[in-house]
Amino acid sequence: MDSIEHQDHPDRELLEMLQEAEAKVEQLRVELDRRREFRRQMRADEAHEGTDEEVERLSEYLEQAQINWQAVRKFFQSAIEEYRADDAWGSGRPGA
Amino acid sequence: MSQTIRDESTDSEHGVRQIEVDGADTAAPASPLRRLPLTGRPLRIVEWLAVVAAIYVMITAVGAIGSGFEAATGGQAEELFSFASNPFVALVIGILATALTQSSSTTTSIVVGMVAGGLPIEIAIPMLMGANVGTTMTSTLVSLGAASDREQFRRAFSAASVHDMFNLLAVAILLPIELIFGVLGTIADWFAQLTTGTDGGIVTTIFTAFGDAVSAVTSPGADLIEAAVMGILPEVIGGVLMILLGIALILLIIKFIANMLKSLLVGRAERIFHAAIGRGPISGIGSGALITVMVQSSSTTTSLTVPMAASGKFSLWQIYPFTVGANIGTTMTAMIAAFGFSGVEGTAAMTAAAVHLIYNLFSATIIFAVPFLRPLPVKGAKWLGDLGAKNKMYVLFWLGGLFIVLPAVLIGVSTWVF
Repeated sequence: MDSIEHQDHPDRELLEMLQEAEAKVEQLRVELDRRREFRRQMRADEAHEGTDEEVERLSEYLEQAQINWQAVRKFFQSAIEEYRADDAWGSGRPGA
Repeated sequence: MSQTIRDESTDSEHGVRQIEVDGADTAAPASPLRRLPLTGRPLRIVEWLAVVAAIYVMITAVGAIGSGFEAATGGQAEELFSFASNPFVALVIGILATALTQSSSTTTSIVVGMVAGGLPIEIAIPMLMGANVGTTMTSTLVSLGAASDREQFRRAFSAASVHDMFNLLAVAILLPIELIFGVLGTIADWFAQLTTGTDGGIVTTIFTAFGDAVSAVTSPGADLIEAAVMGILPEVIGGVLMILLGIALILLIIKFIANMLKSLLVGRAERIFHAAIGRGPISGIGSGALITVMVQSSSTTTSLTVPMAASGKFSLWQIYPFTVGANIGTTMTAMIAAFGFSGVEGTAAMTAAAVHLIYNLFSATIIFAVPFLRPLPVKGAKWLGDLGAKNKMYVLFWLGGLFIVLPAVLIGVSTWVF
């Protein structure tokens, strides 16, 4: 098998260029992966921004995580009133 | 982010436990025993003893239901419950019973007691599936509290609806499979034989020894109730009274346990949330299950996601796995209850409890593993949230549709078909 190390190899120059190109492609792939990972991490960080602080409010959320029957009654009343007045969410727009 | 609970102290005047988590004080939910003249460690010890006592009463109550059901049906449970041999009727019973009691743990514990008392497992399986659907009512009603702000309500109602959508999808997939192949019943039966059967293997030996110990401790309580009731009343009336007494006890005790554990374990729940955030669905499902086991109430976990989503800091995709985990975690209550029986009754009770566990494990695995199924609950919930934020009447239609029209249609159509 021919080796490009051989000084008199007829395709030496082309083979060297090909090797360089392959190394460059590999470098570009690594860089592309790095950028994609960075963007993915940024998106994940954005998605979780503030969630840790919110978890600190767990006790407060536990208090809110109970049925407020007064609010349920109020919701049903307002739903029926808004339906009768054709005024969804009191926005002044029918079925808004 | 690692969180460390550094100190706990109790303000006895207001009954508020202060938990210091990494330097920040958090007020834990008020303990049901806050009026006791105790603070700090002595109070915590008494609270944990109260939890143990409550679990004892719960197992006793399930045992009383089993004995009462056996007495009331006189060994004719299959004939008496022939009306529920239509699986859709049984499913509706599970949905409505849970919607009324606001607790799937209560329904499943009652079903476990009834199966131990002779209810055929084929009738119990759709009831257990229905319990999952019925429990979604609680979080939906909780979400109505966010109606003062339209955007918050959109997020809150969507969050509550994720659980509805997931549980409806799970029933739509697994009920037909169960009716055709009987997969859940077969696997649960194998599990029950393995853990409480008579094959003499190591697993059976360990589980049977544990079950016998629990049963030996709790049986006197159930026997006492039985003797007190059956000694003065005819068998059928006494049996019915025992069932009612058992249900009332379970309702009270599960609520008490949930409130107590919420107060005791809120700091740990925070740590679990911190550890799970941003780590993918499996972590979310695991933490949802763990928190539900800790508070012994899936309604608490699913309702907890409602204000969290309403805050706008948590997306539907983030809270979705927590609610699925809640389905798995809530099966632990019936498992504990099943240990109150021994022998043939114990195997029957364990079969019913295992059905609920396997059903929830299967539904989570299938829906999360199949790419086109996974987003359906979130898409459905988002659609429903948008509709609710457009017009409140859609919310009323959804509640009426899910808990009145759907059950009526299921019973009507299936009775006509079968």
